[in-house]
Amino acid sequence: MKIGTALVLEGVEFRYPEAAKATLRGLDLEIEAGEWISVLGSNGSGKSTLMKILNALLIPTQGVCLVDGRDTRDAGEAERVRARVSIVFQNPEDQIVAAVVEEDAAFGPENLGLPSAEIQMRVKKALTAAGLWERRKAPVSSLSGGQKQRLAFAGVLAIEPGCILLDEAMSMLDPAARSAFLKLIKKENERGLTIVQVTHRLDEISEADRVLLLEDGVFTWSGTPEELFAQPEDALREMNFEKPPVAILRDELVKNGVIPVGTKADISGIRERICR
Amino acid sequence: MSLIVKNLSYTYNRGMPTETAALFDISLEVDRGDILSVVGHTGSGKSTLAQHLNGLIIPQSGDVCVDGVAVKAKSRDLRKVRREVGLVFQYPEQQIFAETVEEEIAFGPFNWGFRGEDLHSKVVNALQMIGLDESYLQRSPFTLSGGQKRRLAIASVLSSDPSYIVLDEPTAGLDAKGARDLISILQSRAGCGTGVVHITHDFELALRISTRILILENGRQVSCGTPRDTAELLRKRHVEGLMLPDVLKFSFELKERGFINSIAWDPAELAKIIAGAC
Repeated sequence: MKIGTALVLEGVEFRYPEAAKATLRGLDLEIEAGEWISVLGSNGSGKSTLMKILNALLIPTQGVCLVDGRDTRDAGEAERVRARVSIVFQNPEDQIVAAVVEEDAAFGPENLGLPSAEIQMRVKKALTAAGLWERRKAPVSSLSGGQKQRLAFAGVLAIEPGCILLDEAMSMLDPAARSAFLKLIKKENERGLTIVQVTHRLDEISEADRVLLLEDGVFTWSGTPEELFAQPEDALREMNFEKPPVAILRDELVKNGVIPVGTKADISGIRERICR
Repeated sequence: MSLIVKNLSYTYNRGMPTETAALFDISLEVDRGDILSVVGHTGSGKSTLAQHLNGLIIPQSGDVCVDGVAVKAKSRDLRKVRREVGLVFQYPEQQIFAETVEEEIAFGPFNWGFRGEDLHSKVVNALQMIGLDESYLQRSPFTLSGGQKRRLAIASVLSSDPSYIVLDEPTAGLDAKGARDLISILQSRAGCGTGVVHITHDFELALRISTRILILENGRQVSCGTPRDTAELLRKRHVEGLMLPDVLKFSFELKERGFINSIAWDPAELAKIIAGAC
């Protein structure tokens, strides 16, 4: 089976019951298998609603959401859709269910009714990927916040989905834990897993293939992370983002004529230019 | 007048099998108008230290002294200390309980005995400090945005007029604008003479806004000094779990190679230094 899942939104609108106005308004989006998409938006822009549409927790009130070609409106497909598309939430405490690390990672595959040898194999694979295999017998309560979030991710990996949705999954992590978590995602993405991430932090998106800006339920901008970082600081502020310091350094060095226009906004790109 | 911590150590569950040492020999001083940032990895003792500063935890060894009043168990002065030092927990919006913004902010000063016009003016004052106007008074806190709720929780500490405020990760989880608004509140409080203790993971932010930075590593104090002294120290010393900002790290590297003479964490400043060296 192909690893990555493809997702399609066609004219998706979503209105919560009795809400005066739709939360998502006519979204069109095609996500290819194995792509990493970052959706940026401030509080209240509709990010979390979009996540729920993508794994059939919510059904569009208009338009269609297709997961590997399956229509999420079809109730018979819902279970299969959710097995292909899994969510990691902001707070790991919301999705850790067991008291021991390996038991928690086994919860998903157990629910799929898999044979126990298969469950054990998946748990080992997922915990190893998340760097928690050594801690498999440890009580969950002894894990740090970053380790708990990696456990939540392992629990989702063990289901072997084709797409993982990250709903501000790094916002409660400290910088070291965030960077470890990003590395983990990158590795899984390189293996072919589709990643859809919502966040409001620009330092979490530099590995994405495509960035979409969601404002008030509509996509208002799309491009690569590099194209986004190239926007002037004021324009980014207008969109409610803080330009990453490395991108500011790049801009300033370009302005001072030290490095050429088009230098990539990361340290290795800058280093290469100035240390020649 | 200052908040002074001297040789403070603390062990959780002392004498029990689950005994865990949290702080060893911490000393610091915060003057009114200062912003002291406390930086360290998760589990480094930051929150334990914070809870000492207003007497939620009583020192086991060493002293905490607020404007000359020592924090001691069963002391009548403890009430005074808690009045002078306002503590804002992590995710304080989770503790919002009142039905209106006004009630929420009035809770502190009401308990300190303020009534009527005095109480109202304290509420309005605190509301202004966080950048909201009186039209918010009758609103339900739960209709506010995430950033506004966070600021409301801070207003309900500011309304008691503390001389010092201690905030545990005040910008965690906020979007860019929310974080910026919050930082400018801290800066303007410090500008008005409040001593601010700012606990954070974000070393880059600490460098930008602090008068002094205290670095913790496994409960021990690595240093307590100005942002520049702290940055210089970290050029030579690794601190567990502390992520250095990319720009600062790059300036260390360039200095190491003899390419530039001074270090910088501000990107515009580093660009200038590099341009000067070329």
